[in-house]
Amino acid sequence: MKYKPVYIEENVNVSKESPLKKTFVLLLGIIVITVISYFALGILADVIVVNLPPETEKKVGNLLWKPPVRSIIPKKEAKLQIFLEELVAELPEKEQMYHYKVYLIKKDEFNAFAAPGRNIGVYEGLYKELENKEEELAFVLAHELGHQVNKDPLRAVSRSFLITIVSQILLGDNNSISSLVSGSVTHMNLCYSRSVETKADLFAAGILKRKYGDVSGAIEFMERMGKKQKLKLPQFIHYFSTHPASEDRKKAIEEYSNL
Amino acid sequence: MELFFFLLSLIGSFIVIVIAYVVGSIIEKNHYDSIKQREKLYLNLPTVCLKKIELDESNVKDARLVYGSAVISIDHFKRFLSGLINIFGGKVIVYESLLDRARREAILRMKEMAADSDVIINLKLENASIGKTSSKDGKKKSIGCVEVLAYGTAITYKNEV
Repeated sequence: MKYKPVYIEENVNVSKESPLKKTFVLLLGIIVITVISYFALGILADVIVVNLPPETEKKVGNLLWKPPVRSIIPKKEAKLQIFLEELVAELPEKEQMYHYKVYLIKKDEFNAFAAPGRNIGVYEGLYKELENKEEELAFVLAHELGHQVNKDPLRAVSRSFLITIVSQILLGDNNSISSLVSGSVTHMNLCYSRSVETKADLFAAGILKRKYGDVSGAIEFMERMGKKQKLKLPQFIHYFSTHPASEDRKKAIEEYSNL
Repeated sequence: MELFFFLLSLIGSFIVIVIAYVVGSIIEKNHYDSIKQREKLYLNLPTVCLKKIELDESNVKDARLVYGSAVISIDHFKRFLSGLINIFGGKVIVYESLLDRARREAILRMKEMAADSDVIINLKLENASIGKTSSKDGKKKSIGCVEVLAYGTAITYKNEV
């Protein structure tokens, strides 16, 4: 056997594909798939939720959400409940057959929320400030009622549930990629929730008009919120928040009431 | 607010990956240049996987074990791309150059050890992963590096064959 020294230039063990090109193609693929499945799953979640019968909705809602530590003044909560019933009387007929319950929560935060099971939570911080401002309080409660009528709490839960499951299945436990996906999904959720908040605002404006004849309660509330927000957040943060900026909400309500 | 910080961390990761890509590519190119240059130097030292070759045993001056090992690590860009490829499947192109470099470097170092020999027979290669390879829930967060060990028997003749 004779040994002949030959140098081989061509490296057969390394692919000639460009890693940069591959990265772009794969990232693009993942982004497109995420966006498409987000919309598809969103539609599916909404379809499931909208077609639930009332008893099922109440049962599922109470499974998903339990009220936290309540106010120690049950009288105030009862007063709030009576006020809520007055507003419920302004709802369309088929929405009135649900039982709406408001919980006064012992927390010094200026906020209120709509929870699954046609429950509404009002924080003590907000109630103390608006206790004697009937129309502003009416706007807050009517806004949350708007969420309930639109079935927003259940929609949000079923969306995030479906998306989490699907992303876990598809992406497995590769941390960096699935956190990229969940981050972009969070952003898409925020855009969705902002549109949903505007709908609830306009619904509440409609209720106020029916009950009080004008939307001044809503406008005053938005100005109050605007003052609170100016103290805390710079302008660009609104891009990342669940509600549109108070200025924009006020404008939308004013336009609606002039229609 | 969470989204804001998430985006910040995303931008941070992106910067790290870009830096890793640039620096990693430079390091890899330099290493390959060095490898190609040294391979040309050792072109006249035959290395075979045969266990036996035709030789006159009385002509053998020296026969000893020679070995070379190399430990090469990947950078963050490679780790990111391998994560993407892991979702859809296919050739993990980024690891190919990693192993190729380690293998060739190990063989070169073995030849350096046997510089004054005439032939290296019975070449074998062993791979090992270094770093955290086992963890409780299978989530590997650390940089992977691979070690290649090349070993064989270096034979020196008494007279020129």
